[in-house]
Amino acid sequence: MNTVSVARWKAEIVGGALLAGVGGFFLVTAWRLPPPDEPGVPGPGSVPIALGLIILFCGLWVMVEAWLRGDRGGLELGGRKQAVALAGLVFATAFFEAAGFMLATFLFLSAGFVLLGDARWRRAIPAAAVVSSGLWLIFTKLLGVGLPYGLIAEILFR
Amino acid sequence: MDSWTFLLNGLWIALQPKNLLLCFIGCFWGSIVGVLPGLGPLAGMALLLPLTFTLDPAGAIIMLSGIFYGAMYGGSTTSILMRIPGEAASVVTCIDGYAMAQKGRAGAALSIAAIGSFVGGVFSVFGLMLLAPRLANAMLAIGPAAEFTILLAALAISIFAANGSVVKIIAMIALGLMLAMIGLDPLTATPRFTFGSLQLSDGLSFAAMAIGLFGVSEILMSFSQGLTERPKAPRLAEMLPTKREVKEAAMPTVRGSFIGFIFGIVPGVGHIVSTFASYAVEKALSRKPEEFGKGAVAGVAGPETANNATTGAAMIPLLVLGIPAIPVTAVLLSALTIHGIQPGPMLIAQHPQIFWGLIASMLIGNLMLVVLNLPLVSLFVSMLRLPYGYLAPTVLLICIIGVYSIKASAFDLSVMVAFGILGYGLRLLSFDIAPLLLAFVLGDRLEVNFRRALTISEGEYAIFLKGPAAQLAAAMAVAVMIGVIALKWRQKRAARA
Repeated sequence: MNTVSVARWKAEIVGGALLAGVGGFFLVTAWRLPPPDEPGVPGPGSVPIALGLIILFCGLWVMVEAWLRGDRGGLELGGRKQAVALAGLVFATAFFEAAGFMLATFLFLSAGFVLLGDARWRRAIPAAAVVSSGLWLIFTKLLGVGLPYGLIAEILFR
Repeated sequence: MDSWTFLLNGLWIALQPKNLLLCFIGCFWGSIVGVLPGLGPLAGMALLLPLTFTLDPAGAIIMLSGIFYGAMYGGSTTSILMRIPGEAASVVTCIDGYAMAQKGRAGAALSIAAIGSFVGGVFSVFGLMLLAPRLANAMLAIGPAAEFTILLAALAISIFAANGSVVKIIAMIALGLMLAMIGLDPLTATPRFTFGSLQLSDGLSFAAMAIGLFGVSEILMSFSQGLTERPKAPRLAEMLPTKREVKEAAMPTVRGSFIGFIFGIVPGVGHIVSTFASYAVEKALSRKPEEFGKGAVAGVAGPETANNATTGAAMIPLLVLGIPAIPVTAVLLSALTIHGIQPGPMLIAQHPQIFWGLIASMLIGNLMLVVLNLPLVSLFVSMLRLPYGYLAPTVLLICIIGVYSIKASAFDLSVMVAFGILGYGLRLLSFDIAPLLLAFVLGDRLEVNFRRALTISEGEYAIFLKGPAAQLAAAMAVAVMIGVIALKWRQKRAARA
């Protein structure tokens, strides 16, 4: 499997910078929150300001530590399978309501079985149909969970 | 009424056909998620959390806790047969369990693990029954200042329990607390970090976060850990341990029960520490320490017993203090809160049916697991033969259904995906994500108590040291901080050596 790798120290520096950025962002946003009603008593922004500072500090620490340590070892960020799973997940969640449960999950599973499980299409399609229908029946009929029919079903059946 | 009468009432609740069925479903699903590498009790519980919304609170917690201790049982199967821990607490069992399997004693190892787990589970349930009501009475006396200090101490303990550098753990705790601040301020109703979004006004969904952080990220991580070994299930006839093995397992089982229970009470310590501690004790006490690592029965019996004894004991901080000692109990806390029940000192008095029903169901569930796990080991092993490429998309789909069924919200699905990616990234960079989730759960109470205490004292920080409860809590917090610093320093020194 082809995987993407980077030097660990570089990844740590990027991770630390992102953490510091998140801390800084929360700090600035919390600073704009209304001040406390009484002096000395914490208001809605007091705790977030302190937390923002801690996150910012920790992010900077991680960056500096990574820089000083300079770990040249490789860090595998992931490969084709992680990318496929993530792309499929984003697709399935984005179109879950619009396409409806059956269509979105059928496509997601078929592609998943082929691309992740190396199955042939003629085997993946019936397997995906069985799993989607089975899950639909278990969750909607047996457990009473409401799952979306989707726009296509709405158009076809209403 | 005394504890035994309450327990009988609890048994009556737990033996209701519906609750028995829920207990069975929980134990069965727990065993499955425990067996499958990549899925642990947390993901297993988070996935079924939305389904509990239609249940009554007692049924919901009975099912979820069934998943919890079921996963602890299930985790040992892969450890013994494949040397792959089904969940983190079974790591120690890999050492001697797998060695026993290599010697052709896999069945005996599985039986010893199952019986040890049963004894540990039952022991911890009795401990919970006797200790929890007394602790709850003591907890009623504390105010917001002491409660804040206790919550702070619980987070400090998680620094010790978590893996990785202290700075990274503190960053995760602070991030979790910050994420808990998203939504309306609980005291002034000021919107914080909502950026005009109506969905964010309610705060982030715990289930979406938990499933994303643990479920989705776990699946993504598992692609890098290819499973190549095809395990062979032992026959039922091979499951019986010999007389010598039973004798060798007896005392480690007793000791494991005590060790697991003691470690389980301490918030944040959890199963991994208790199993390692039990293993270390057994090795130290053994007349043949050289057998450890080569298939010592005590190396399986002790840690497996301690593992399940910790499960029952971990319920004490949750039910009595309202503090989820480990991320798994955070899911239980969330389930109870969704049902309008606040765990804490008042739980036993206000909702005895939940507390005693849970205790009784744990007794029944532990017995159910012994009956379930030994004959069904072939079924669980056959699941391990399923190609991961088929299993992963199906589990991801269950994650989607789990999150969507809570509020039918596409926004929550986006939150799940975002936290899945975040969790994956953080784990790659060796950040432990468990403290993040713990802090998220405790964040609201921590802030409210902190601000309430300072409002009462008009800004005087001395309130955190006023009164015996606050002083005791503060002393405990200081002791914990010193302990954490000392233990982390020792860990660092040992790693360098």
